[in-house]
Amino acid sequence: MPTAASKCLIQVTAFSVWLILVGSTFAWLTLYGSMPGPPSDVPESWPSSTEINRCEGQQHLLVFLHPECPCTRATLDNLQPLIRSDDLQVTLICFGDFQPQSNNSLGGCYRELQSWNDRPQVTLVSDVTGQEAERFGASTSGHCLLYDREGKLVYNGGVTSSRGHRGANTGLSILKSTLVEFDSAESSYPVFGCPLLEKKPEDLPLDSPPSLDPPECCEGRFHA
Amino acid sequence: MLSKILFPQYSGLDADESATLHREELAANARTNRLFAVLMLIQGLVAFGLSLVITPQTWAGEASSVHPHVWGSAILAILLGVVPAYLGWFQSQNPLTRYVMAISQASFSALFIHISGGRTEVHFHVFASLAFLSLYRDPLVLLIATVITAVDHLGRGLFWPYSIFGLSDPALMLVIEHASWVIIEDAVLLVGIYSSLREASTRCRDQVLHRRQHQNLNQAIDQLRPVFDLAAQGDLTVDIPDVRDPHVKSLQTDLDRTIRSWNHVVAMFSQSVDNVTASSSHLHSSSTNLSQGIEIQSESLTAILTEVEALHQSIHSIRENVRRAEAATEAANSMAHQSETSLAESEQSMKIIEESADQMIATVGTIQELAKQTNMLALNASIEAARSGEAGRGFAVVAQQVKELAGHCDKNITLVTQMIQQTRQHIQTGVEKSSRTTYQFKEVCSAVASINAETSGIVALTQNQVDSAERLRMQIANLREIHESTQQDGIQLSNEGDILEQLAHELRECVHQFKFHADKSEIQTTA
Repeated sequence: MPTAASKCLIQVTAFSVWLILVGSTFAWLTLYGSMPGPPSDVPESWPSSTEINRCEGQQHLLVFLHPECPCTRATLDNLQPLIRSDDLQVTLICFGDFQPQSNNSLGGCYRELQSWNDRPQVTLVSDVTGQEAERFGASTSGHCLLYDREGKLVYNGGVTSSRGHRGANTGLSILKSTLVEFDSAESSYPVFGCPLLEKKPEDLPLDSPPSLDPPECCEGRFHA
Repeated sequence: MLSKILFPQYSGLDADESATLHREELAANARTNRLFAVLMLIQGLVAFGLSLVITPQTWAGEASSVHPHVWGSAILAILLGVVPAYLGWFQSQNPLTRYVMAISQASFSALFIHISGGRTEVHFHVFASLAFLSLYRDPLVLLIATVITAVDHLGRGLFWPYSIFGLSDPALMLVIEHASWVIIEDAVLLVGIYSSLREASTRCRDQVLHRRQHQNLNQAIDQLRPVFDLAAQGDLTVDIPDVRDPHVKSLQTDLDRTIRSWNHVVAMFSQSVDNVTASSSHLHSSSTNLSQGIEIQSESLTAILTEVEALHQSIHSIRENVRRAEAATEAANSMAHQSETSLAESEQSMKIIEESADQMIATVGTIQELAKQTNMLALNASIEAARSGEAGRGFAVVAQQVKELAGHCDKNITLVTQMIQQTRQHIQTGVEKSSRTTYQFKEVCSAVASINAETSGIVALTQNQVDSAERLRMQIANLREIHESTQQDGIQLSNEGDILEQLAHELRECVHQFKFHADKSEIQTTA
């Protein structure tokens, strides 16, 4: 028969453990959501090896997406207000054999992609084997690359502030500035989303995970 | 000071009132905990369901696995939903449970805001949560939830603003704005909570006061209970104990007056019951006697009726006999008249016979003369025969025989004459007797006529008697009917008398169950 003191101690201990577990779970979810995709080498100019046609004299936005990734919806929602200009050509490169009519799995973004496909300046491309993603160095769903009229890379990064979080963020602001003003202090932002390609053991980084620290230009404006 | 702020309801209460309030709060918190247990389960299921719908899987190329959000929401559904629900349902009396509920509810608010990407609408979950948590009427619960919400808003608002406000830049002003609304709601809720706690405190004080009054009342009632018990058992001689409680004092006085009043009423009632019992006994005996008298009268009436019927029957028989006698006298009268006529005719015949006898006597005289002449002739013949000698001898014998015959004839005629004379005398006697008989018959006829007249009178009288007897019989029959009705009434009266006597006895037994003082002297009656 436990005494009142020991009973109180047990209760306080259990309460503390519960608090720690709750805090840890929240911290784990926060860390998971805040973990950007690995950095990659992106060609500074339009690669010649790509099968995607670039419209001459127009800005070209490439958005690499995984149609099954739940984070894709936030990326599309954030990009929605930016696709206004006739001067912008958008290509959505969907990983895998993309069949929007025949697939409507839970968590997927097929309906949204189909509605995007109906837009005149938007082109949907199926990247069956992920070759295009490799050509452009995109490794994470939601990776956006903006090439100017000359085919030069002017923006490289994501448009969400964490996995699946729609709403204003620095990356979106940079892209908007670049599109409208053709000029921005920054040109890159971390990408948050599912990996587009399966990680092979040899591809796994041996160094520490990339830092969430923003570039120097964003200091004071971005907090990971 | 802190306890007065956190637990203001206990200030100014004594130990008993505090214990009562604590018990009430435990019960109220238990109810609220169970309510929150259900709410936590629902929120946990919603969070887990949303993760399954929105982010079921994470992908790496063509490979997929369960999304960490699913695992995270499952873990949080257990930690923030199942664990508090378990505590709320099975540890509802534990004070720690409501603080767990406060933390869980604030965490759910943080989670839903995070999941929604900081949508403004979801921030209302915070306000709803605070309003729900105010059901505990515990400022500390509200304080814990507010602190968690404030830390969450401040931390994420400064370091991860898109998670809580959907913004990229730190939003201290938004944090302050949201905090202001939370502070306003907290202030309103705290006003309500403190008001409710004050009401609870007042109610508990009143409750304890009522309980104490109730205890005092119970003590006083316990003092009076034996009086009621004894009074219920019929003892009205019990003494009323002195009661201190002012509320029961009037009851004690009223009870004393009531017992005294009952005692007086029961004493009077007992006396009345005794009188009723005696009267009912008299009534019973009188009704029994009356019933017996009625029965005897009934028997007498029956006998009288039987006698009257017999008298009626005998009068009827007499009347019939008289009628037959009248008929007989009439027949006798006619027979007498006929006999008188026959007697007259017989007398006439007797006179004729007498005349015939006289004629026979004359005739017999003649015959006797003839016999004498014959005898003379025979004598002459015998003389002549003697003169004629021998030749006349034959004549002498014949003359002798004729002489003997004449002698015999004369003798016989003498006898006949004597006989006729005797007959004539007899006839004369008969005529005389017939005359007397005729006279007597006339007398008889007149007597019969008078008898007939008398008999007619008797018939008329007997007819009157028959009518009178019939009327008498009818009157007796009516009298008997009335008497039978009276007899029924008498029987009923006797039965009612029996019932009344039985009721009087029962009433007496009931009254004898009471133990009471007679007017001045104590008379104890026990049943």
